[in-house]
Amino acid sequence: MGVIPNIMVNALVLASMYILASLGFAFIFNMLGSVNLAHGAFYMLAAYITYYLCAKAGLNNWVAMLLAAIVLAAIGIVMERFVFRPFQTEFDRVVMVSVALMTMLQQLAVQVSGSQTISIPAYGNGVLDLGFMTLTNEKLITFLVGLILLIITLYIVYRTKLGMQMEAISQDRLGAALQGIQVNKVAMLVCGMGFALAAVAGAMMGAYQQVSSNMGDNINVRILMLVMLAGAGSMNGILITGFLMALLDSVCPIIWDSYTASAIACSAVVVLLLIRPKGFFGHEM
Amino acid sequence: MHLLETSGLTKRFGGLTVMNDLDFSMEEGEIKGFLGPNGAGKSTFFNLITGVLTPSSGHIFYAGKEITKSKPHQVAKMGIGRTFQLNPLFGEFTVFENVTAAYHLRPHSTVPQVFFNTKTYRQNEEYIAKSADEVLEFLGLQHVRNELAKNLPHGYQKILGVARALATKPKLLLLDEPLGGMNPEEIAFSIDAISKMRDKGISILVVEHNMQILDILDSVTVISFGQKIFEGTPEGMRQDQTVIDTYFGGAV
Amino acid sequence: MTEKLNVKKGIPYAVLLLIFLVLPIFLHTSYWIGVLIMVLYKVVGSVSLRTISLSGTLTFAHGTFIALGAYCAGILARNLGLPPVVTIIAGGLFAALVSVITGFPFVRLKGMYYSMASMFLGVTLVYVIKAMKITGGYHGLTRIPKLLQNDIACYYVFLAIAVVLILILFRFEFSRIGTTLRALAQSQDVASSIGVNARFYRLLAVGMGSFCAGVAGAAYGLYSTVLSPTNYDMTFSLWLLMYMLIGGEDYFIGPIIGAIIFVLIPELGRGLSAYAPFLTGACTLIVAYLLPGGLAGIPDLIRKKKEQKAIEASEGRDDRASA
Repeated sequence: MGVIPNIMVNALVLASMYILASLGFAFIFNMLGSVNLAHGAFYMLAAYITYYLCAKAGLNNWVAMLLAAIVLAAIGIVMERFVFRPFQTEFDRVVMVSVALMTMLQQLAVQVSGSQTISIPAYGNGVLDLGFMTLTNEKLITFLVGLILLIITLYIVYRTKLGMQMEAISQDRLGAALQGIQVNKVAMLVCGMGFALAAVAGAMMGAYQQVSSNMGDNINVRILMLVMLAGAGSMNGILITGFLMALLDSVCPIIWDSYTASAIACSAVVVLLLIRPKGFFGHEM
Repeated sequence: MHLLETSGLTKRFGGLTVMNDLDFSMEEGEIKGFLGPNGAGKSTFFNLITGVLTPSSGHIFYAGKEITKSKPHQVAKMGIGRTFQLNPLFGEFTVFENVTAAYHLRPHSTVPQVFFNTKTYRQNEEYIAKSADEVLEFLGLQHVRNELAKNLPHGYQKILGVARALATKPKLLLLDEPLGGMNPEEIAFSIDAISKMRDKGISILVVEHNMQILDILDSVTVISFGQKIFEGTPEGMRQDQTVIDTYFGGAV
Repeated sequence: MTEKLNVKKGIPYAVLLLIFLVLPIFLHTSYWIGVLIMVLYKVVGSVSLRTISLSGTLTFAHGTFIALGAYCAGILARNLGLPPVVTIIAGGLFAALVSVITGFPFVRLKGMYYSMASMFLGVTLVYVIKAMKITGGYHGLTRIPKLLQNDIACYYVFLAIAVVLILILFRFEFSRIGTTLRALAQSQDVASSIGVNARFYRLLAVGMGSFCAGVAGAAYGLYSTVLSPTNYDMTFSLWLLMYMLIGGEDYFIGPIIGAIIFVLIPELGRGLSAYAPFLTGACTLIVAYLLPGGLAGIPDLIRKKKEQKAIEASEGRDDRASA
């Protein structure tokens, strides 16, 4: 009993993390027109920072997560200033820088952690009995953290001046600047925010699953797929495709072995993209 | 049979109708003007004919064949050449390369012919180089032959757009604001070149704001907000009350 | 302006070919032969990737099509015992076929949308390889009959294949086809208006590039006799692209230079291989920020700087004269 509720719970937990991790990528993609292939690597970096602050420095894991988010926000601001801004129209340069960073971060992860399996201490223990099913507190906490941050982000995007400025910049950067919007400041702020969200996702997933040097690659593929499926400029689309992706990732491993599951989940997304190569919820490009 | 004909041509973008039930025709060998104020739907009309946009309803016929749903490259293949209002170019190519690249269809070398460097391909390329120089000579671009297209002054770039369209050996040439942003000398030169092209047997449909073009037109269609308001000769147009009202605001 | 061909431009290619012809005399251990074959393999991979990018879009899936060629040839050689000539060509054709079929819906996408779509197309195909039985799944395909028993003979066969493939791609680019592809990259609207079927030409480039990649992959698979799907992950595809960008995407020789240098960096010294990613990463950053034309663009960059200096100097004289 309880297979379907369990799948839904797992999907919701994963979805909240996928969406959290992709928001930063989507902001940079929609607003600044840059593809940050290193986004997954920074997500991994955050997981490693959190792990070391917990396991080696003995900090509380919430504090560690917060510190990691702050560090990543700073990195995001630096990335905006030195990568996304100077290479606004040069897609190939952004690819070069992000792949170089990705390679170095991955190698760093391999060297510091070696091949051992490591994992951040759980954010919560115990189980919650809901009557028809049981729910581990860890899942609940992970989901709630994702949900709260998501609501805050959506509030910023849809209800605040910053959100309106972001929308203006994504539609017409020059026009926004002529209207008196401080484009660079907004871009910096948004990059910082996006990286911090990815950091939280990394820190949570590092506990929920594990910390490894290839966790960045895995999330990168997810991020790209759900942003493409959602379509350019779509925020609501990301929520839907994020859940869809998470659902596929929760269901497929039950039926098939992990490689077949990945192959089928990814193939499903590719088939969807074959139907609508420009995504399902975005505006025309 | 008309050379180009549209019937009931309609184009809507969402709720906005930019072209409404337009019946239009032009004959072989004439220079026809397609005029109208800003936002009247002139460029949309070109994009519909050349297959960049698909009509919401209505039909387009070229030389008796329906081209309503044809793609841009298919329309080009049937002998319709065009220029663009904002005049995009192959900016990283020289002027000469811009024109030689345009000989894609006539003469056409198939991919295997090109790859294996066959005799046909070599002969074609020789012919293209010669012919491209003739086009440049004809339009007075010979002295900037080896300049990068992006470095040319605006007027030359517009003329280069015409040269490129001419190189596709069109039967019908669509010119989108060929005089836009030109100085008086360039305008005089271009008007002269357009009438010389007609003498070569090319039918020309021209969208333009500049009324100096009227001198060489055989007939005119005027539209406003996607609807035809006048059809006839340039002289008739100058006296037509609706046209005057549309252009100068009838209340004056 | 399209890269101009003349005898002087041929000198670097001749020098490179000569070096590759004589190198095995000095580096004849099977380790170094392996490194040299790896260099040639990645050179072809990167040059063929550049052919696809001529039409203005970067592909992130090239490594996957190399894998398809390798697996096709490996399976044919292992299970059916077909000779290398057949399996290598079949590998190339298979890679080209799959790339054209899967590319068909995606070539309509422009710029980074195409790149991103190609990326997870590539990732997905590698997952499929990992999940299938006939490919040996995650553990890979083993016991593929070797191309030739003698390593040095293998090397020269590989060199010959690489030279032929590069000549094919050279011919492809410096013909009207290449011009048409470059035209497409600059303005698809204009190209369509002169009658270019954008989709056909994009797919032609994709098919051509993937064919050569598949051939190189097949030959390398037959040389190494073992195929592991983890060798063809996203990183592999991305680095083939990086060789081209670092070497200079506007120059035919760019990806050749990029691949040679970056494959050889880890071989510079013993014990360096663990630090090689940092070295390559740092070099990439330097090129990204300082060399807009990549490594092959350095001569042009120097020439431009000199011209600028000359202009400034003459302007300075004029100023003095007028003052």
